[in-house]
This record gives sequence, C-alpha cells and structure tokens, in this order.
Amino acid sequence: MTAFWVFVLAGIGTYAARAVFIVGVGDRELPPVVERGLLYVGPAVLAALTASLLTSPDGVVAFLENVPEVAGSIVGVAAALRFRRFDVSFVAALTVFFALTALL
Amino acid sequence: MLPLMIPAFPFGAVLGLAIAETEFVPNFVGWLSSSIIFGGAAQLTAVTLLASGAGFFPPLIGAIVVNVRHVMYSAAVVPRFRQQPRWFRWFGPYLLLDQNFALSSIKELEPDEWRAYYLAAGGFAWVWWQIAVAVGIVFGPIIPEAIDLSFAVPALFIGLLVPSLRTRPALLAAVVGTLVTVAFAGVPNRGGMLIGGVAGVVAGTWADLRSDS
Repeated sequence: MTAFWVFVLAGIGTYAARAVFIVGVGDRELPPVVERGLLYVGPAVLAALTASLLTSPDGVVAFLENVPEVAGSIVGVAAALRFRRFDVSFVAALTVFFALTALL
Repeated sequence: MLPLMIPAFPFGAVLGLAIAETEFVPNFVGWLSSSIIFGGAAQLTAVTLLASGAGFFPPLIGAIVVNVRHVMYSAAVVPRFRQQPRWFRWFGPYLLLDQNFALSSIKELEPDEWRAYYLAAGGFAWVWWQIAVAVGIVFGPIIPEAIDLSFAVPALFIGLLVPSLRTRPALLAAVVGTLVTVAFAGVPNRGGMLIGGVAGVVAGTWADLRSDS
C-alpha cells in the first residue's frame, strides 16, 4: 500500500503544479512584466530540460566523452536551423547517434 | 503528436520493466501510476526510489520535485486557457505533460480549435502511455539491451526547441537556460533544470524589456 499512497499524493502534487496558474489566475489580467516573461518560459525550460537530460547527473565533461550523443546533438541543431522542422532534425540526430554507436 | 510520442513508448516500456522487477510496487498499482500521476519522469523517480526500499517520503518528494517544472508550463499556457470554459480549465491541466506543452504552446489556433487540438493530443498521449507502460510490465524483460533509446528524448526536444527560437530574447533565454543547467548538472532530482529554467526566463525577459527602452 505504500506505493499506492506515494502515487496518489504525487499525483495530487503533479496536478497542483500543472493547474496552479491555469485554474488560479485564468480569468485575471497578468502584470505586463509577467506576460512578457511567459514568452520565454517555453524556450528556457525546453533548453534546460534538454541540457538536463544530456548532462545530469554526471556533468558536461562526461557528456562530451559520449561521442554519439555530442555528434547527434550537433547534427540535430544544424538540421533544425537549416530546415526549421523538428521531424527532420529528430531523424537526422538519431541517425547519426545510432550510426556512431554501432561504429565506435 | 505521433512523432512526439514514439520516443515515449520505450520510456514507458522501461518504466514498466522497472515496475515488473521490484517487489515493492505491485504490477497493477505500478500501472495505475500512469493514470494517477501521468508523468513519466516523476513515475520513474517514484518507482526507482520505492524499489530501493527508500520508504514513503523520499519517493513522494522526489516525484513532486521532478514535476515542479510543470508550474512553469502552467504559467506558459495561461494565455491559451484564459478564453476557455471552466470545465476545461480544471480538466486541461491533467493532460499538461511535456509533449503536450511543447506542441500546444507553439501551435497558433483559435480558442475552440486549440481546445480540440489539446484534448486530442492529450487523449492520444494518455492512451499511448497506458499501453506503453503495460507493454513494459508484460514484455519488458525480453527487450534486447543493445538498443539504446536514451538519446531519443533529448534529440526530440532539440528538434522542437531550435526552430522556435525566432527572436533574440528567445535565443538568449535558451542559451542561458542551457548553460546554467549544465553548470548545476550535479544538483539531485534534476534541480539544475529548475535553476536553469528560471535563469533563462529572467535573461529572456530582461533582454525583451531592454529592447523596448
């Protein structure tokens, strides 16, 4: 039963985190600086999430030793800049990653 | 949504495998976590800590800290929810997972269309996730370890993030978010990501306000 109650309380906590701004302040106008700041939540958090997935918990030095991940990330960024499409970038990055993983 | 959720399938399957392998989490209860929490990173954190025999509070706190990032997602989609009916403002947050946030905060649509889009994408992700975890629990033990899918999720986020950086403050927000997260990579429970996210938002907002004056 321990696991069940951990899941229930974690589920309530997760819903609260997802709902806090939507349910709480959905009807009200936000201060201009907050409204402006929200524009950058997406870019900042997506970038932080990606960086965290690649480097946590071992740090950037350990990440740079993973040649397939580094090469795949560079190709992914380059393809995204060139084609402005996430599917092209995703396939290119994974192709490089799997090719180098097989070769090295 | 499908390309976004394909990488979630192995993630769900790995979670299912972890559930199947531990005696501390009954299989059915572990599967229920997919509908109760509906957030892979938090579920995996809770299951991993439960499996290590960590008791009650470490798995609970770990799962909630991992999901604190959703506060930032919640803030980001407020403008989208402002013109939505009350029932949707209460139910919508349940479906606000990483993939749905990434897609729906980029897509430009009318309120009614956006709601339909959000519900369809979220509903699809929900069903897909229940199946993936169940498959992991049932078939996980026979997936060959040679296939490494750990890079699939970051590769996906690179492809989503980079094309959306169309302004100088947005680019600065992403660069600062990345560098600060890397600098704090050693903080447990992906705490570095929260610090990096906040730093990126501050940097982007600062650059935006500065360009006005």
